[in-house]
Amino acid sequence: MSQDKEQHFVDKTRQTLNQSVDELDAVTLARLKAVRMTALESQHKHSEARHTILTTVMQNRLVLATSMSVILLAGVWVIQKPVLQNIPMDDLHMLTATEDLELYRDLEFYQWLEYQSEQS
Amino acid sequence: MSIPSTGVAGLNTSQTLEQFLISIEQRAYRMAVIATGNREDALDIVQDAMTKLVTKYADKTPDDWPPLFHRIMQTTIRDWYRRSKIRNGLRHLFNWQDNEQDPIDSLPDSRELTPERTLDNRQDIEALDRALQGLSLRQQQVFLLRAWEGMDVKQTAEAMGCSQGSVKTHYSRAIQALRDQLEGFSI
Repeated sequence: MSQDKEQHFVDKTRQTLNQSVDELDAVTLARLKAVRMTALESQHKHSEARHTILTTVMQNRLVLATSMSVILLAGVWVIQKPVLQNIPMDDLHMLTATEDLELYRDLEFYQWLEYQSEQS
Repeated sequence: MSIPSTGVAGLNTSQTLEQFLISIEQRAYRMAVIATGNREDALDIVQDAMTKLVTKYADKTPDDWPPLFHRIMQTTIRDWYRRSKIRNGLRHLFNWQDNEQDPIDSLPDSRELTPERTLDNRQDIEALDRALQGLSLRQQQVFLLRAWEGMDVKQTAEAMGCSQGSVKTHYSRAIQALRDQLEGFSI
């Protein structure tokens, strides 16, 4: 088929297709309008849904960030709190020993007595 | 294909998008009718395509909408085609009967046309519809996009998701088949 004939055929076809659109009945046109409006409404619904999701995500992030901050601060506080290793071992023994506390109160006296006996 | 430029300036995105949908809805519907042979399915396809465009691509520039819309349309039509093949297979297997009549078929045409002109137009349109429906889906889609929408080979290939060589082959075969089938009509 020559180019001219092919182009002529295509032009005629296009013309017929355009006529078919021009002859769409009123009911079909009304339904197409309804279809369009439904599609456009879905855009608004989609935008609202996206906004809601974004807001929820942002709120969740805020809650998460706050929780993390609290946990972090608590961790720092716990780390900086004096721990048992800093307590002198003698004091620890005193606290955990089952002996009479009177002995520890007079410890200096007993140490002095021992010193005196060594001197003599 | 492009969006009518008159009246678009100064419109917001929603209004521009609506203008675009108005400009393509009738041709899109006719394409879907030719592909499916069914008005209800055609309306569903157009609605699906429009909805996907406005929910996913509204933020694109108006120049991007026509190729995107046609890509969505062609994909939706192919999905429908696959589903209908499965449905027809099941229908054949279980011998289902479909007696539902399209209510639009029984409604009168409200357009004012002379009987002679109507007859000529109708005959041509029906003949062309039959000839187009006789093509393979690929040939049909390529022909409509190239001949009716005025897309070039590259744009058609992008809308169809196939190679440019494939578009050329389908287009050439479609024209040949249509010429053979429409011999004797005024087309």
